[in-house]
Amino acid sequence: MSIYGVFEFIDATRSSTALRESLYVFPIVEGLHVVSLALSVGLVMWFDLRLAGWILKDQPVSAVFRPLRPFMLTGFAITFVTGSLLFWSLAMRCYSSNFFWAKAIMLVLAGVNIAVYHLTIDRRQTEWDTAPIPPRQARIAGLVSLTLWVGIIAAGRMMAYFL
Amino acid sequence: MWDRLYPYFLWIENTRLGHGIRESKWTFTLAEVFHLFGITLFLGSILVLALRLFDLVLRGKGVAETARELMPWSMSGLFLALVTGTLLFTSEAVKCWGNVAFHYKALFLLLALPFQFTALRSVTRADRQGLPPIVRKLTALVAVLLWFGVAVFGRAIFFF
Repeated sequence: MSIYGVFEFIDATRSSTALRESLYVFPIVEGLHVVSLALSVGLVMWFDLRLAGWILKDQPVSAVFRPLRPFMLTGFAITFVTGSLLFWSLAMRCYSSNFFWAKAIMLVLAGVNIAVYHLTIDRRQTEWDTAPIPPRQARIAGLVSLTLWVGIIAAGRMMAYFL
Repeated sequence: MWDRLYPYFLWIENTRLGHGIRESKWTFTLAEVFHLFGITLFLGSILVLALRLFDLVLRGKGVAETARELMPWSMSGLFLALVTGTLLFTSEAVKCWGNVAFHYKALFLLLALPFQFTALRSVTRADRQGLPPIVRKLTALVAVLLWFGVAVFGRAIFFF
């Protein structure tokens, strides 16, 4: 099945139609998706800024990351589940939206960035945990993450506007 | 009360600024995008500050110090959200006038703004005097609830 076919199939499911046409569920899912941004991106940015060496320089990187992690992960779980539901309900309209594809690509890149960070420089975190300015690779990971999230929010908002 | 305010909302919508934003699709959309940037930045920083007041994060750093370091970021976010929010409001003031969700958003905003700059501010600054934990936690909770109320009703405007 082509990608178009997959999207068409999703769009035609009963659950997709039901969600799309529901009076209350759709707005609630949509509202949760936007508001949970504060918990997901709104929290991960502080870790990114610390990695970039811009804020909380007197605090170990782990002291910024570890306590924030459960809240951040909760936020991302809500954002991701509600986002998937929104996509499920509007698959065909997403297919024809350039903003959707831009957002999808940036989300994949953000995932790759997180994976690369945790598999490489983060493995040696104890060596630079208390450094006010982390090593270059970690700074780059933080700034890449920040940039991608800004792009993802922008693309997401534009996509919703033009759907 | 809302009936008597109608002429003012109508007047705002008919200003040049209101017209300008409404007519230009890109200005409106960009204002929406930056409104969302501002909200994410601001709500995120309010959350971190609240978690700090709950002693859940950054325990190695004082509340006042943490607040001082977050302030430039959170105030930039608030400023961005308020400016873009005003622009968006100007372009559809009459729609807002008749929108229940907007009424609640306005109410929450009128409560949240003074709370932010009186209660929350004095609690974060009173670090050293050692306020009872319950006062710090309640203040943090109320601030988070008020600001999330603004956000939730803001998103709801679209659906009414």
